Amino acid sequence: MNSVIRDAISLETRRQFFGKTAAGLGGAALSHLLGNEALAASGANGFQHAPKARRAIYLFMSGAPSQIDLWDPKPQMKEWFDKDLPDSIRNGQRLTTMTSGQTRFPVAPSIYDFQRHGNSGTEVSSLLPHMAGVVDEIALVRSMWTEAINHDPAITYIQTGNQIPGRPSLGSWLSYGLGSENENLPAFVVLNSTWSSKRDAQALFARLWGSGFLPSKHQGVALRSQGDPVLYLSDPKGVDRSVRRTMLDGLNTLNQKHYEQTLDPEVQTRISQYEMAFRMQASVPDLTDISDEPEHVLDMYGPDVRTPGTFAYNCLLSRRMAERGVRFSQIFHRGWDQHGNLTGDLPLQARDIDQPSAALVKDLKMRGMLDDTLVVWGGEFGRTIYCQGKLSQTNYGRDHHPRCFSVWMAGGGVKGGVTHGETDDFSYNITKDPVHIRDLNATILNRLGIDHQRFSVKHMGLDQRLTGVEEAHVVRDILV
Amino acid sequence: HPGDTDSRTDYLSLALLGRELADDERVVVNNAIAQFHNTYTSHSSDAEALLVDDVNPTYTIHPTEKHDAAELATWTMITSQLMNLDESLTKN
Repeated sequence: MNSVIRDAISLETRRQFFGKTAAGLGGAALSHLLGNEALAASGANGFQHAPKARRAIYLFMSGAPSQIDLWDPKPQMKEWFDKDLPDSIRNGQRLTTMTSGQTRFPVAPSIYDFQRHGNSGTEVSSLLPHMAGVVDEIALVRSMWTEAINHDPAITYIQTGNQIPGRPSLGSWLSYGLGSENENLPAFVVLNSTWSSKRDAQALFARLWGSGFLPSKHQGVALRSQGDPVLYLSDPKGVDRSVRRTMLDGLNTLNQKHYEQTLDPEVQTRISQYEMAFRMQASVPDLTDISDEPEHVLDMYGPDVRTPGTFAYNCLLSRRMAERGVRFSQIFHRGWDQHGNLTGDLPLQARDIDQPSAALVKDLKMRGMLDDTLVVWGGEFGRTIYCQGKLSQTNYGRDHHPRCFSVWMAGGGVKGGVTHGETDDFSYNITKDPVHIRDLNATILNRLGIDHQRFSVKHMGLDQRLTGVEEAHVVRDILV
Repeated sequence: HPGDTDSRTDYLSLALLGRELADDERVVVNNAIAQFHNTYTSHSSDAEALLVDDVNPTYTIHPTEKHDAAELATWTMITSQLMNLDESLTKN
């Protein structure tokens, strides 16, 4: 049986599953029509369990922000300045070729001061004064870990569940399972941000928001960060909405006939994407026109907010998308790969994201949306306590470190004002409550009403899941 | 000119798809032709605007006695429609 026919049969089966079982994820469509309250009242269990979050915003810090200088204070390290990292601590951790050739691994304590903040007393670096002001809203996980030591495998791993590319991204899984609450905007939108650190940044690839083996309509739609957010959004002169509609109606009919002959799901993707483009012609100008935002709201996000393409602007846009029912928006901010000149570059990076991230949390809370919007902040791995390159009292570099890093979550059924997990004195090994990136993804799915173990698609002989084949656990301690 | 319509449609489908349209497909295209022609006959300034090439003015299409703006605009849209078919865009 050829694969196209097999796919068509599984699509038909899926359609039956959606249509007939209220216990299936088809309830998501029902929820879209009726609204969550009506869904609950109707007794239909549209999700695998009741969701806490209706939508999520992922602030992805590409390049690996240094946890030692931002979130994981190690004051004892001041006594270890320029002393070698003990073998007992390193314990055979493989190193990247960027430092494996070093003869010494001298400890570089953070030059930044950490203070306790909020009612929770969570310690935050002086580089993040605005985030320090919202610690009572966030759950800070200091015990994240991964196996990957290089960027592309690591970011592919955290986005898709495997270091080898080809699988659907988190956003695509959410689009596939939950759909969009707004038929005029994609379920999954990606925003790429400019960054301030003075070095080249790790590249990002469209496959990081790709749909893998899921129908390609679930891929992330990346808005452009310069110029028009969507190219060729406006119709040419002489084509008005009704002419465009006439053209699309005929096109859809012919494409639909083509689908019926070939049963190729990509034809359906094309039909739905053209329809989405038509709707985005109306919805995107409204989304990106921030002239209706009051001054006090814009001021919260900081001075960059009026400049399209900045992280601040993108945070504002993601709040607007949250209001408009976009299921998952993901903002990428690059430039965190401080192998050298950390004290020169990291403050610039922190300044890019500190105020807008805090503003986003506050803004959602002000609008009563924080309870059902999950916000996630983090990168793909951590950084080493030992110095890469030249160590001085005022500057140092850090190499990649997979064994521990820090991520925070807010809203969407996650506790505020808590920390989870601990690392040793060197911020090298986890001493308490390790959270693998699989566990983070399981938790994100859980808050949105999805059981990561049951949410799967049969492909290449496996029940493929975002969390893969190895064990993954929802981090229950930080859930509301 | 019904004769012209069929031969033009055949030209497009042979060039884009390597085949002639089936009868039910022809109906869809003919409907679109009629709708576009109606619209552009009653909105002649739109028709003319569509024929202008802002980027390269030498490519602007000028109506003639034989082919007025409405006809040219109509076939511009029909060509665009058929070029956007999944079958045109996806060559396996």
